[in-house]
Amino acid sequence: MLVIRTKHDIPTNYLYYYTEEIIEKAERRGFKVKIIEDQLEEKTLRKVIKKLKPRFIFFNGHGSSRALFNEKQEEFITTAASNLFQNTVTFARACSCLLELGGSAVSNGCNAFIGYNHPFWIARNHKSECHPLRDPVARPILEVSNAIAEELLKGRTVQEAVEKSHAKAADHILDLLFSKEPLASASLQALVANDTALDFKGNEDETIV
Amino acid sequence: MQEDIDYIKKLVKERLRAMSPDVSFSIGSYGDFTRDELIMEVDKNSEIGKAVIEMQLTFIKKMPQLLSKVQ
Repeated sequence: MLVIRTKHDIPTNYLYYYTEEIIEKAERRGFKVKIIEDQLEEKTLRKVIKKLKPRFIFFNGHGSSRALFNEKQEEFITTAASNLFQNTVTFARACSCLLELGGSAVSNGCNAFIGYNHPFWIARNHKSECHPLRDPVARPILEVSNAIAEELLKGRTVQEAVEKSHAKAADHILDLLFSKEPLASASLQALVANDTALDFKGNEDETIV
Repeated sequence: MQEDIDYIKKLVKERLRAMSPDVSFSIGSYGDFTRDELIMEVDKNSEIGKAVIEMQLTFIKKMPQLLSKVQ
């Protein structure tokens, strides 16, 4: 399993800390986890993928419809390089990249590409910015997307993992709809937006085990 | 048509104003925005403002479906 993450601004900081529990769970399940978290370059990534042949790539960071961005906010994997994802299940927790990058990756041999076809929203409480894991506003949003990786690690198919995430989102949404917590509305709106944008391309029966 | 757009903007801004000022949103590589900054982006009709409107409209459209799960 290959985890790609950076920590260069507030949203990537949140994503960074929320990948920790996925890494721990993966290791407990016997996955060998390689983490790349700085100097993100296509060349480096190609070398790592060629050597380790990961079945699962979990990208956390910024993106666009056609590219993933590195810590310098530059495109480092574009549709032109999407054969990089060949023979993997890839989950890109990044804005909009399912739209073009996902389709291109699958056309170039990626088994399945899970991602978002609109921006990925993180609602936050200002007061918790230094402690992402203690931010109650962001927690449901990131737990719901973490569910995808967790389910894949359990051996569930791509389709099952995405459905589980939708189900988890529905549970949180119903709780938040009736919450009296003043910050709940922000979590709720981000959750609905992300849940609507979540989808996958490729083989629905693919697993990573 | 313009009246519809103005009405939608007004609705979206009211919904944003109803949120706590302690809340911020990260919208991918667009950056981080407070509630009041999002309201300004809607007024400016910027890309972020359009993303906010789309997000709010998605939410409003989904509400009946969400509430039907409760009944």
